Amino acid sequence: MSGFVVKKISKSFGAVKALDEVNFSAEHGEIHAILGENGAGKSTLIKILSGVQQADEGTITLNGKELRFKSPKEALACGIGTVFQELSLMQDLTVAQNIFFEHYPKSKGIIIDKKLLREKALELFQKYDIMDIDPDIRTNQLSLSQQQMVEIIKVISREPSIIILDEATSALTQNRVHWLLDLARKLADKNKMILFISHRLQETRQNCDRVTVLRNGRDVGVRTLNEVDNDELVSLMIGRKLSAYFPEWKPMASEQPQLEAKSLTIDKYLNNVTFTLRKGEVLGVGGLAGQGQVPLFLALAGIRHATGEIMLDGRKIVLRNPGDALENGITLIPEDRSTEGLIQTMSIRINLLLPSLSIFSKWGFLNRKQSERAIEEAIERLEIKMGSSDDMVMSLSGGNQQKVLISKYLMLNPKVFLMLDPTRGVDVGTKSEMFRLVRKLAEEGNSVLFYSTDLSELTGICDRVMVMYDNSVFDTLVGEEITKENILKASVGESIRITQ
Amino acid sequence: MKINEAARAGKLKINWSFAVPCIVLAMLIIAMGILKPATLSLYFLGIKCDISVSLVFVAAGQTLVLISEGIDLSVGGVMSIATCIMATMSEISLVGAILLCLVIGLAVGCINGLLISKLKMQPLITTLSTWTVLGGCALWILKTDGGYIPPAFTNFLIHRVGGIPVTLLFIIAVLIMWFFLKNTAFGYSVYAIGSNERAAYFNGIHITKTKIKIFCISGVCAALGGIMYAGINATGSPTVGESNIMMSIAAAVIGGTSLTGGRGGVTGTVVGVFILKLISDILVFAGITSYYTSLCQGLLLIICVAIGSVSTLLKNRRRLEYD
Ligand SMILES: Nc1ncnc2c1ncn2[C@@H]1O[C@H](COP(=O)(O)OP(=O)(O)OP(=O)(O)O)[C@@H](O)[C@H]1O
Ligand SMILES: [Mg+2]
Repeated sequence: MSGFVVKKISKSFGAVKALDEVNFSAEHGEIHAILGENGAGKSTLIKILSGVQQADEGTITLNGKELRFKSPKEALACGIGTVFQELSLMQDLTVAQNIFFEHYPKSKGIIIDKKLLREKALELFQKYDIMDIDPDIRTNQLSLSQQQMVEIIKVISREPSIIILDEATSALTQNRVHWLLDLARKLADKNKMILFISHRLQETRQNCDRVTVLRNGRDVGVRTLNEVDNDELVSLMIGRKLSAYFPEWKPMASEQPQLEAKSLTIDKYLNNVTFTLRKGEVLGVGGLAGQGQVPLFLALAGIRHATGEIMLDGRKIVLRNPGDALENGITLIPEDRSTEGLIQTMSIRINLLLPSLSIFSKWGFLNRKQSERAIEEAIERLEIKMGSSDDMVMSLSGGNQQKVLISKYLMLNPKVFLMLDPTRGVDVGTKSEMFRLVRKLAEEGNSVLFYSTDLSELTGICDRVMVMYDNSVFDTLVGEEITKENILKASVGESIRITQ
Repeated sequence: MKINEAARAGKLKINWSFAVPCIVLAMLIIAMGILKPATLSLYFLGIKCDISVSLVFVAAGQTLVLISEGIDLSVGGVMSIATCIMATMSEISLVGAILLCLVIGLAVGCINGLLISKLKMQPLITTLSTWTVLGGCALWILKTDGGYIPPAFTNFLIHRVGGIPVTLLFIIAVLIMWFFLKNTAFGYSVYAIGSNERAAYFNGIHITKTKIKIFCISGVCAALGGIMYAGINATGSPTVGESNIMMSIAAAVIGGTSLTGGRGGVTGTVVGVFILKLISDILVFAGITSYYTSLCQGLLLIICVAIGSVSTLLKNRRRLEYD
């Protein structure tokens, strides 16, 4: 039989049974989706298929041959290329060096020819239609979305016959998501097999042929996507029906400004940005990737220095570092949880506590009772799925790490919440829960600046949407104007209003 | 999520990088007891504490720096200069000399911290420079070993309170301080910075302030180490600090502190200090010449580090499958 056949695979981590006798099969020429809640075992299954981890029990066959990979290298040699959920580029190497790592193009002698490397990389970019990345730039200079692109190109450049994408779309902006999905379809038409993991039902449904659903480490069903509706998929995934994805909400914003930014400028990154965030408002930030959204958020959080003025409650404030911002009640959920938000090798408990250390301590000493209670509440609020709060953050599934990230900033009860793509990698149920939470924060008189790569989130929960283009604010959409079409139009610098 | 039984049984967590040095220390003590039963006495413990206490102070400060992913070579200079100041000035005023030493330790730490956090200089080079400068100053104050220490001070330090050595009380005090420090906001920040400085910064931790504090504590600890050394040995020495630099790092590493930051603690370091100090005794009692002491200390360092990392490797085998 052709394709992958996985039989009765099990895998435990200590007390956690991540996979429990899972069966799974996929064929060449199809895009096969794997769906499931955070912690359902999707990434674990992927890691076993690509040799990063070994199964405790069970068999894997590919085209009738039994496989038992001891390392990712062996899987690569068998034509299995994987884009992992957590980015794995080497931050101090250039883009080209990363792409060709361990399979440098042949040149004379043992010295790697830099020019050749650059040419080959450019060739690849041309072939796959990428214009905005310089192969000689260091990876740590790239935005998250660009890094994700490099990661994808790196895998595809080896021309694998099986391509596994573990939440590869979660860090991409809308236009890039289309690019990836088109590419996946083209590859599938060439008889390659694509395994596709995503928490966005919409894109999964539009582009995949079949889907396998995992729940709590077990496979609970295989469906052909155009024969199944969303409700059925969701109830397969979470074992119950989901009421409404987006909450019902009424605009509650007062006229009173909470946070005002006046001509914020960072050389080359941010150009004269002025806007007002009102009390009780959720202000969406849209636009293509790299139009100054991230620098704007970093400036408001005191991480990057910008010229111009920031006013909070009508009072001018100076933000020299993130500590200053936190003291003023301004909190940022950073974009990249693994390098900016969380400390992977520390416990979940301490991670949750870090930003609020000063709140829970007096004379430097922690108030145990108070802090433990807050931690418990935080864990329950977003239902973080874990063994014990003393486990390291790195033992959590991607989505659960994201929940830790959000919870720890929620513990601060901030006045102004800056959210950079907060739902990245979070499952449908939890996303829906988070939208409710965002609206509730606004209702309580706080304000939220909400950036998302998912347009439907902007149209779903924002009072206004500010679209950025070329490092400044291009337009601000209000009320009826907030539609996907308008946001997309404004994103490329087209006016949505009829000119007189 | 299901809990499987075997895994739950294995859930008892052992911190190997701390357990290993404890086991080694226990073995050393037993070996000593066999070679020379007289060493299993309060008297011998007192002697050991007296010669270890200065290194305990220096290494405790060093440990804090190492946890934050730094390194402090200037402890050698601070320690030397402290012994010299004690040897030359304590005759005039003991309290004055002690205060001066502490102020110098604090100032050096402050300078180190400022250079490292504000100018983003490498800790290794920065503290190497301050060490060199201070070493020179120490030689300027006192040319050779010697000087005068008030006997009252020496007698106080080597005093036994109902059989318990005063120096042991000092060591216990260090441990108690550490226990408190570890659980303060500052303590958490130190570990966070050592694990991932960027993330720590995003979490609102004041990197500059924290680093300056860390180096100040290390400086003051080194000064205390020097004061203790001068007091107990009733002499000043412009070069004593040098051997204490590597010893302080070795003690911390043997005790389970990681040079890559984020892991370890002073409790392990104290165990490490005693291991280092006991090895030379064991060799003497076993009739091996003292030339082999540093050879054995070096070998032990490798063994301890290797055992520590192999056991974490085994423990984390699953996790390391990621790499
Ligand atoms: N190295 C590890 N150590 C301990 N537990 C682990 C480890 N890796 C995964 N787990 C656990 O296994 C379970 C499945 O995790 P997995 O990463 O496969 O989830 P997932 O379906 O990919 O979730 P997400 O959508 O959040 O990415 C989780 O409960 C997780 O905590
Ligand atoms: Mg995953």
